[in-house]
Amino acid sequence: MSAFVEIARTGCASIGRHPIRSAVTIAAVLSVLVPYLVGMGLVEGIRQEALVAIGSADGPGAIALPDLYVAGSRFGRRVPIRLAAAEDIARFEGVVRVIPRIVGRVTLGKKDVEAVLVGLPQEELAEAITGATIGKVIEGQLPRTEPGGAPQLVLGSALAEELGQQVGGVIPPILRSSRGEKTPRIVGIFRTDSSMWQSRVVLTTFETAAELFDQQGLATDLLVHCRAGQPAEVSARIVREVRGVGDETGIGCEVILRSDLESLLPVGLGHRAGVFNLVFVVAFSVAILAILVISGFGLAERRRTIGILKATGWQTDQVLLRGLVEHLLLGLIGATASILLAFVWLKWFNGFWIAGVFVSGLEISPGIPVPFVLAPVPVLLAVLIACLLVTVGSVFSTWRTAVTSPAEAMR
Amino acid sequence: MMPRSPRGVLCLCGLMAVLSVAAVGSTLSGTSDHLAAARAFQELTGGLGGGPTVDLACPAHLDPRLDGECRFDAGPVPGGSLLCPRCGRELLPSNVDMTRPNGRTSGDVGVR
Repeated sequence: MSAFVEIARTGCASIGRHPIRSAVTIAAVLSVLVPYLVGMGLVEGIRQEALVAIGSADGPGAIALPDLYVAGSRFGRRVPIRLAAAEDIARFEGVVRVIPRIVGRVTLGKKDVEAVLVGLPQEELAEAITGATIGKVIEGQLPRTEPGGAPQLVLGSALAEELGQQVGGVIPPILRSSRGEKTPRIVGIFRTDSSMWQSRVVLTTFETAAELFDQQGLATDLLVHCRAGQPAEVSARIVREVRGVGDETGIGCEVILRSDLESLLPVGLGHRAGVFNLVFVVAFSVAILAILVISGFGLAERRRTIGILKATGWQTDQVLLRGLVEHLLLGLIGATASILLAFVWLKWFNGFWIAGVFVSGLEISPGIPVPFVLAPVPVLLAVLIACLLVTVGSVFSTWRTAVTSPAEAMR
Repeated sequence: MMPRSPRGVLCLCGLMAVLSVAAVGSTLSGTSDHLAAARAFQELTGGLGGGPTVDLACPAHLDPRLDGECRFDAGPVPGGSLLCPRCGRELLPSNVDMTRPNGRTSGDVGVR
């Protein structure tokens, strides 16, 4: 056993004895593993936020989101639905309440900054968030509709920064609609750490949103809360009975169940993560070849060392064990350094540049805290891959040298 | 700088392993406040997001509830998905967005 430990000690010592060779090997591991860990960290962070966004039962914590999302359907495409449908659906057995919502695309300010306008009824906004939790989400207050008053908006954090807006500010130029011109006033700004998807949202009341788009009597979708166990029945009844509501052209209904989303989301994210993993399988294959070449870096020195070891009585298996310990430790140092660098990139540099690759619409330097989680499985996989890469990449050249005669190896 | 003694190398390995575990642990435990705020945001908006984008250039990518499929995907046409300002962003410049509501009248779009 002591001989075994002694051989391992010489393997350890050889890392410090050849600093350039060790540094180059670690750099090769870093170049492959850091982007992999950063990417998987972002995927996991976005997945956790997405689970919250759809109110998944698997997500962390319970959340009271609608069970059904009902929109109009024409030629198989989702289109806005008439508000009259809300009253019909509200009468169905098993329906607790129906909330109309507008989600639309607008541009703001002189620079035509793009935003996602979300409009919900004033009373629903007030009910959804109490005074205690409003501070977690919004700096300022909720929007209200005041007769004859200015439209009130809550801006997403990135949007407010881009427009140079603060609470109490107004958005130039003036809003125009068939009802005249009004100056929207900023009554709140979403907190940067509330959600990734708040960054470009403009939250307002349903009435204001309808006025901004100048399209009355329509909603993007109806949010339907049902009694437990009844969403599927209500959904079927909506599709069957709510047809052509106030529309002689026969607009139908399309219903998305929250349970559908729960099955859809893992597939979508899994596809993205799978594509990303596939790219890195190729990268890892190339890396093994690269490390084979890199291990040739200082090969003459390594051959000489092995030749001397063999000449002084070392057996081939002892030389291989020494090389194995050296390369396993190099792999471990490379893997842990990769984890630390990935953490620094995501936490302190806020996913500079790479966050925009995974989340489109973000700037090179994201204006929001990028969600990330370094999950144990990818991290352990990274450690395993690093050790395998370095060991597989170098063990062959060590073995080739170890089986030749000492005189040949030292030549 | 690489430590030269075996003990130094092992200490370096141990230190980096401990720091890595701490870094991983901090990302796992440090998210509860953020998730509570995220839940409050979702309850406020009735559920918004879930996709890999933060704007409405491609509604299906922002939120699958808004649109079931990418409206710009040209289907079986080779490279058809590149017409989408979001799906095709890897190959086309991200500012190529023909769907932006610029230049329409304010009555159509809303705020100008």
